[in-house]
Amino acid sequence: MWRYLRDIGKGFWSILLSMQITLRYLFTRAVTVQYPEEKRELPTRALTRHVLTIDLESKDLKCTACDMCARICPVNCIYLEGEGKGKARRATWFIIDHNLCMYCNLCVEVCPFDAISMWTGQYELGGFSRTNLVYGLDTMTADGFYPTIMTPRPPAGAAVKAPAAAGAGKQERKG
Amino acid sequence: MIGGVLESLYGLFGEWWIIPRLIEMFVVVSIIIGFISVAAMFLIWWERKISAHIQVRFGPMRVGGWHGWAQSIADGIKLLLKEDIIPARADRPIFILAPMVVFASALAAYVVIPFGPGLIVQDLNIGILYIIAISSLAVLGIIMAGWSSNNKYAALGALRSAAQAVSYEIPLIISLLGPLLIVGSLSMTKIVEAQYVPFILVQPLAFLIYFTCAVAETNRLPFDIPEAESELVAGFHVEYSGMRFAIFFMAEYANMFVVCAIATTVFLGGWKGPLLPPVAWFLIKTFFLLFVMMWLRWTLTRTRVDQLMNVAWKVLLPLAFVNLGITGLVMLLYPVG
Amino acid sequence: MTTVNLQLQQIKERAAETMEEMWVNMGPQHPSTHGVLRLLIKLDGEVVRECIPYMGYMHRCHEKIGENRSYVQIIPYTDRLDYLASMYNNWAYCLGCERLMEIQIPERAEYLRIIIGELQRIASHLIWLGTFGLDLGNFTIFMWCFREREMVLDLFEAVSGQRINYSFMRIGGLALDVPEGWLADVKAFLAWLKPRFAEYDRLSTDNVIWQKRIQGVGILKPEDAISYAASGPMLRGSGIQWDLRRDDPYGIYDRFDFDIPIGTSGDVWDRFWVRRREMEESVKIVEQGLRDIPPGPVLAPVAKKLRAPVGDIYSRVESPRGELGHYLIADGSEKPYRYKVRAPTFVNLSALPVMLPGCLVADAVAVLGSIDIVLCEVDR
Repeated sequence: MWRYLRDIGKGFWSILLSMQITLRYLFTRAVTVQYPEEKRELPTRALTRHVLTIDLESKDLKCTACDMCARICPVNCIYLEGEGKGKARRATWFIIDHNLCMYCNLCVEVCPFDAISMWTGQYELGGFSRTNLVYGLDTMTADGFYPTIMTPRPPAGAAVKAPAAAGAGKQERKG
Repeated sequence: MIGGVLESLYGLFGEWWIIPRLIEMFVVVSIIIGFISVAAMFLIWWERKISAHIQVRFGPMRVGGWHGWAQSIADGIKLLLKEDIIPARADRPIFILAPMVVFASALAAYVVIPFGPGLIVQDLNIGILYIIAISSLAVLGIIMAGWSSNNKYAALGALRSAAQAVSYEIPLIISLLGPLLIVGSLSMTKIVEAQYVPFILVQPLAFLIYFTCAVAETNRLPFDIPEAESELVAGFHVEYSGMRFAIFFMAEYANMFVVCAIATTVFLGGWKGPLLPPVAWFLIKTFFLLFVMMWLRWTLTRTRVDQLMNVAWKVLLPLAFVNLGITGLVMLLYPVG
Repeated sequence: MTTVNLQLQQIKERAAETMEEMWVNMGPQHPSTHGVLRLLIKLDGEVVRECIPYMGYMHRCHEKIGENRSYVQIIPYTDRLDYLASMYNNWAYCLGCERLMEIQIPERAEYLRIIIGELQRIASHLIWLGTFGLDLGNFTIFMWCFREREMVLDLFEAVSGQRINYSFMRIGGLALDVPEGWLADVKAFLAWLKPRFAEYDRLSTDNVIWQKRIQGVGILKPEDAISYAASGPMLRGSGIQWDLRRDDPYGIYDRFDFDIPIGTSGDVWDRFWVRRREMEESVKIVEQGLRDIPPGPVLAPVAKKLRAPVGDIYSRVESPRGELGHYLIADGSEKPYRYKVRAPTFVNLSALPVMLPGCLVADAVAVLGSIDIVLCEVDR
C-alpha cells in the first residue's frame, strides 16, 4: 500500500519536474533563423557553387583545360574542351551540371592551377528548370576571384590554414 | 415563401410562440458555432506557438503579419478548398456522418457552460449530468469514423478510443461527485454560486483526477493513443481529408474547451473573481487550464495502451473513491447546512 | 507427419485465420519506420505475433558503383550510406585503403579523425535520441536534440564545407587542416553540450512515463544478440562488452581512456541508456583529443593515381550504429575488383523478428526506434 502511494507520488513529481524544464524553455529565445530576412553567415569553406578563378594580373582565366577535374569527378558532371598548346591552352567550353554535382570538392583539390573553386558563398541556386542549374563558362567566370584551397591567406574571418594539404598536394603534382 | 414556412410550423406545433423560440434557438446555435470556430482557431494558433517556443522555435510567423496570427484562418480556407476524398471501399453514409456526430456532441455541450451570471444558454438543473452524457457521444463518432474508413489503422484507433473512453469516464464522474456532494445540485450556476472558496482548495485530489481524465477524454498527449501519430499514423481519422478532417480537428479543440470550462466551473470558482468582469475571469481561468493541457502535451511521452488502462483502473478509480468517501464522511461529521 | 496430424494442423490454421488476427503493413510509408522500411506485422488485437521486415526499397547498387569508380572517387559515395554518420563511412573506407596501400597517416590527422569521429557520434546519437523520442510521442526532445546537432553540423561545415555528406577524409589523412580557432569552437561546444544532458534527462530518463514505456520491452538476449551478429549499442545493451575502439583499436584509440557502457537485460531501456552514456564518453574522448593534438601535416604524401596492390582487406570501425566494415579486393588496377559494405543496421535489423513477438504495437515502434536504423545504409 505504501509502495503504491509512493510510486504514484514519485511519478507525479517526475512529471512536474519535466514540466518545470519545458516551462523554462518556453521563455528561452528561439534559435530559428528567419531565412529570407535573416541569413546565417556561411563559413569560408562552405561548398556552394563552382566558379572559375581569374588571374589577378592578367585578368585571364587560370584554367588550362587540362581535364583533371573532369576525370576525377565521380559523377561526370564536368564537360570541357580547350584550345591551344601547353601554357597557352585555354578552355573554350566549360560546363558544370549542378543537377549531378554531389559537392565532394574533388575537382577543386585536384586542380593544379587553383583555377576552380567552390567557396563562393552563393547558395541560392534555385531555378525553374533543370537547365538553370547547368553553368557554362560565362556564368562561372562572372564572379571573379574567390579564395580556394591553395589561396595563401583568404580574407578576414574564418582564416584558413592549410599549408600541409596544399603543400603535399603540390609536391605530388610536380613529381 | 417564408410566410408559408411559418404557416406550416404553426400548423405543426399549433402554438404561436414556437416561432420566436425557434428563431432564438437558431441565433444561439449560430453564436455558439461562431464562438467555437473562433476559439478553436485561436487555440490551434496558440498551441502551435506554445509548442514552438517550448521547442526553441518560432512557430507560424508569416501569415497575417504579427506572429502569423492568421495562420489558422489560412489553414481553414485551405482545408475547405481541398478535394473531398472518400475511400472507395469506405462505408459512405457512416463515413460522412462520423465527423458530424463528433462535432455535434462537442457543440451540444456548450449549452450549459456558464460564461457569467446569467450568461448561459440553458441553465439545466442536471447540467453536469447532461455534459457527461453528451460528451460520451463523441466516442460513438470516433468509432463510426474508424470502422467506416475500412482501414486497419483506423479500426485499431477506434477500438483504442472506445476502451479509453469507457475507462476514463468512470473516474471522471466519480471525481466530480465530490464537489457535487458539497454543492448538492447538478446545476452549473448553482455550483459556481456555492463556491465561496474555489473547490480546488477543498478537493485538490478530485481536481487532479478530473484533469487527468479530461486530458484522456479529449485524446491528447500523454493519452492520445487513439491518434498515436507514430504508431497508428493518425488513428481513426487517417482516411479523412479536407473539410471532414478540419471538423474532427475543430471538435478536438472544442472538446478541450468544454472540459476546461467544466473544470473552471466546478473547481476554480467559475466566473468569480475581483475587479475584472465575470466573463473575463471565466475565460482567463479556462484558458489557463488549456495552457496547462498544451504544456503537458509538449512535455510528456505517450503512454501505452495497457498502462493507460492501469492508470485508469488501478490509480485514478481507487483514488476517486477514496476522495468521494472522505468527502462524504466529512460532510456527515460537519454538515455545512 | 501422419495424415491425421496434417489434418489437425490444417484445422488449427483455419482456426487461427478465423480468430481476430490480422496482417498489418507498417511502411514503406509510415511515420516511424525511419524511411522506407516495410514491416509486415501479424496483430492479435494490439499484440504483435509475428514480424517480417522487408528491405531493399532504397537499393542504390552502392557496391557495384564502387567497383566502377577509382579509389578516390568512392569516398563521396560512402557518405551516402549512413547519412547521419558520414564521417564514419569515410573513415572506414579510407582506413581500408590505407591498410591496403600501406600508407602511414600523419599524427595530427589521426587525432583530428578521432575528434571529428566522436563529434559525429555525438551528433548521430543526438538525432537518434530525438527520433526515438518522436517514436514514443515526445516532440520536444526531438527539437532540443536537433538544436545541439545543428551545432555539430556547424562545426563540420566550418571544416569541410558540407553539413551532411562531408567527404572530408581522404586516403592518407584529411582533405584539409581545420581552420584556425576551430578547436576552441569545439571546446566551447562541449561546454555548452554537457549541461544539456541533464535537461534531456529531465524530459526523458527521469520521467516516469518514459521509463515505463521502454523498460522490459523488446528484450534481446545476449545469445540471440551474438547469433544474429548484432553490434554496437544493440550488443552492448544486451550486456556484452564489445567495442571495436577498445577490442580492435584502429587509428590511435588505444591512447585514449574511456569507458564502455553496457546494459544488463537487453531491453529498449538498456539500448537507450547505453547510447545516452556513450555521448558522455564521446565528450571525454574529444576532450582528451583536444588536449593532446599535435601540430603538423594532415595528409600523407600519396600518389596522384592510387593503385592498390593485389590483395584484400576488411577494415572495420565502431560507427554509432555498430561495426561498420568495408571489404575491398584489389586487383592492382585503379579500381577495386570487389567492394562490399557490412552495414551495421542491416545486421541489427535482422534481429527485429526475435524482439517483436509479444510486444504491443506501441512497443513495436519503440523497439524499431531503439535499433537506430538508417535505411540508406540498410538497403545500400
